[in-house]
Parts: sequence; structure tokens; C-alpha cells
Amino acid sequence: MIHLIDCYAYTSLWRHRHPAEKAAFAGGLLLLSFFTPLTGLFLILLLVSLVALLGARIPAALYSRVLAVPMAFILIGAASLLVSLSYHSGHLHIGLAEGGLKSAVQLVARALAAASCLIFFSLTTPTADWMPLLRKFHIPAVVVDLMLVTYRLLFVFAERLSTLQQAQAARLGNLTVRNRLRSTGLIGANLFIRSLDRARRIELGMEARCYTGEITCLPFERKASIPIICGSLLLCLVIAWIGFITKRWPYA
Amino acid sequence: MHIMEGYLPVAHAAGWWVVSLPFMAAGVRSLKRIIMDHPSARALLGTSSAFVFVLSALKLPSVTGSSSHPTGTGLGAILFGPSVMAVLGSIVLLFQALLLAHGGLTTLGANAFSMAIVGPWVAFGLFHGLRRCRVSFSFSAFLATTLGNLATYVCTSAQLALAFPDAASGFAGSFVKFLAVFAITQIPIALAEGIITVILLNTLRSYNPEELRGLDVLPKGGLST
Repeated sequence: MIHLIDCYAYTSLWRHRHPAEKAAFAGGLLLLSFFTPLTGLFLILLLVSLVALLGARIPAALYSRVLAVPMAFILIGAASLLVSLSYHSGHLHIGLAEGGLKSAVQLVARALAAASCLIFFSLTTPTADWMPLLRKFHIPAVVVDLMLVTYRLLFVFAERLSTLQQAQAARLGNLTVRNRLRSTGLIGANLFIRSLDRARRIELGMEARCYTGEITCLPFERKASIPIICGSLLLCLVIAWIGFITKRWPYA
Repeated sequence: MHIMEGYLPVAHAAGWWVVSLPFMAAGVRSLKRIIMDHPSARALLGTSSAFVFVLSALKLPSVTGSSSHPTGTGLGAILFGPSVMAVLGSIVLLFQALLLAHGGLTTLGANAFSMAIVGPWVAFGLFHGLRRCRVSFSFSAFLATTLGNLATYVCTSAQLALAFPDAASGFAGSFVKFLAVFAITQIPIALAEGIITVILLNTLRSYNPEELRGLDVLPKGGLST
């Protein structure tokens, strides 16, 4: 699962577009999703999905699989908006909430629209491309460095984790619930010991390469295209306008 | 339990960011201090956040069959201290949002508050409080991580209830509703996380006690085994 998004992002058709262009498009629509009624939300979901599938050519199977990740939470949360609880004179009343359906639909639509923006960005932009740009937003160098080291190690550990799990499964370590709990604890301990060892070796390696307290990366080769950024923002304005004029529609 | 992208209304999403930012800033300050005093701690901190991330990818035996996983932040707070966890936890949440589509950027403030601030502080406080009362190592580790996980879940439910109060009974009714809905998955996870953390810490204590003492490079975070 951890490789699913990251590996695809590196091979994405739009990988070499400047991160700022993609951020303007996805981020603008993401922010807009907070303020627009249902019509605007559907437009955002439709537009982002079309751009992702037809523009950036993300395979539909991958896109829908990633979009399905937050669905369980979204639906459970929305379902609890439909129900209303109240407590009167010693009795617990459970019933349908007034206007619950409308707010639940609104919530699901907003969450889907927002999730599609986020997923569009992460499927077209590898982490290594946007992370160095954080320095421009005055995120402290300590934090950016920490993120770079973390990002590098995530995959090392994930691989180690799957090896450990395979070894335990091969030795019937997951046979009973009791065994599984013990196995999981042992995996954690093992991973921890090895990660400390790893940390020590990384530190040595960095020091040997004259590490002075900041990891410098080559800047992105291309400049961000101003027309694309302006176009994205214009698009947001158009959707905001459509949302505004359809606000009075009975089901908006 | 992560609140997904776009789930909170704008005022709540922004509000939780405002609440979490001071904690993150304080965390960055203590990070800087640690690195100034011990330059070699830098790689250790990076590995710890990767460790917490991978820990949260561990599948647990679950009753409902849904994907349940530990938060790992309770253990992180016991090992590395809660103020650093505010930063490490937020980095983990950011990567979870972007690499796993789990959580979100606008809801990162709210998630950081429940998972990187409330959970770690509860776990850390309980662990050291219980240890001071001469409760056994295993039992204090179990209670601290279980209740730390439960505190995260109660906090997330409260955040959701504040954002979506019940039409009839307001915040209280909605709070009960969200607690009940997520209890099915969260209570078994909290217990499992407690048990696993105890096994993990005891394994470390018996095979690698020097590693745990070595963690004293981080202020307050060290284990006095």
C-alpha cells in the first residue's frame, strides 16, 4: 500500500510539471470545496477526476482504489449524521435527524471533492519534488531535513517490516490471536533495534560526506508556468460563481 | 482514527490548526535544542518518525475486519518524550495523508491535536505518574498506551461532535453517537496496542537495555529501566 501512490507518482505523465502548477489547481479547488454548495462540489469532483484520468492519464483502477481508502470513515461518519439521539424525562429517543439527509449528502460530497484534489496532487507529484519547496514557505530547515530523512527511511522500514512478517507467517506466528499479538510486539521491538542501528550508520555516512546541518537539493529545473497557475485560479473563480448562482436551487 | 480530508467545516479545520500550531512550534524549539546539544540525534529523530509511521502500518488482529492499526504515538511519547512527538507525529500524519490517502491536509491540525498532542501527553503523563507510584513497568506501559490511544479516540469524537452537533440534543448527543459508532473498532485496537507495546518494551528491556538508556540523549524521554 505504501508503494502504491509513491511509485506511481514517479512515473506519472505530469511528473515534470512544476509542483506549484499542480498545487495551484488542486489546492485552489480544495480550498474552494469548503465554501461552495452541492453543485460546486459535484463540479469539483467531476473536473478533478476528468483532469486526473484524461489529462494526467492516471489509470481509473488506481484512482478509484485510492479514492476508496477514506470511504469507510466518510460513510460511517455521515451515517451518524442521519440519526438523532435525545434524552427526555428518563427515556432515550433515537430517530431520524431533521435535515440529516441533506447535511449527510453535503458532507459526503465535500469529503469526496476534497479527497479527489488531494489524491490528484499526490498521484502526480512525488514527495521528493515538493518537499524541498517547503523551505520557501519558511518551514524551519530542521523540520524539512527531518522529513527528508523520514521519507527516505519509510520505504526501508516498510520493506524490512514485510520481511519480518513473512518470516513470522512462515513459522505459523499468526496462528492464534495470542500468537499474533506476541508476534506483532516482537516485530516492533526488532524494527526498533534495527532502526537505531540504521540511525547510527546514517549519521556516520552523512558526517563522512561533510553534512553541515542542511540537506541541499537541486532546484526544480523548470520554472512554474504563470498561465497555468492563473488558469487554475480562474477556474476556481468560475466554479465559485456557478456555486453562487445555483445556491438557491432546492437541493443545492 | 484520522479525520479525512474535507470532513471538517472550514472554521473547525482552521481552528484546530490554530490550537495545534503552538505545540508544533514548541516541539520545533525543543528539536533545535536537542540537535544543538547532540548533533548525532538528528538521524535518530528521523528514524523514530519513520518507525512511528511503520508502526501505524502494522495490521492488528481485529474483531470487525476493518483495517485497524495502532497509533504508535503512545510508544513514541514514552521513548522520545511528548514535546518532540508533536513534530514527529505531525510529520507522520502529513505522510499518511499524502502517501496513504489517510487523513488530510486541511484536517491535519485537528488530527495532530488528537494524535500527536493529546495521545502522547496522556501516555507520557500516565507512564511516568504510574512509575512514580511504584506500579510495575509492564502494567504502567500497558495502561499508558491503552489510555493514550483511547484519549485520541475520545478527542477525535469530541472534534467531530463539535463540528456536527446533533439536531435535537446538540454536542452531548452527537458526542455519544460518534463515541458509540467508533467504539466497535477503537476499543479492541486500544487494548491490542497496549498489549503489543508491553511486549515490545519488555523485549527491548531484556535484550537491549543499553539502547533504552542511550535514549537519554533526548530530554525527559529516556526510560529509567
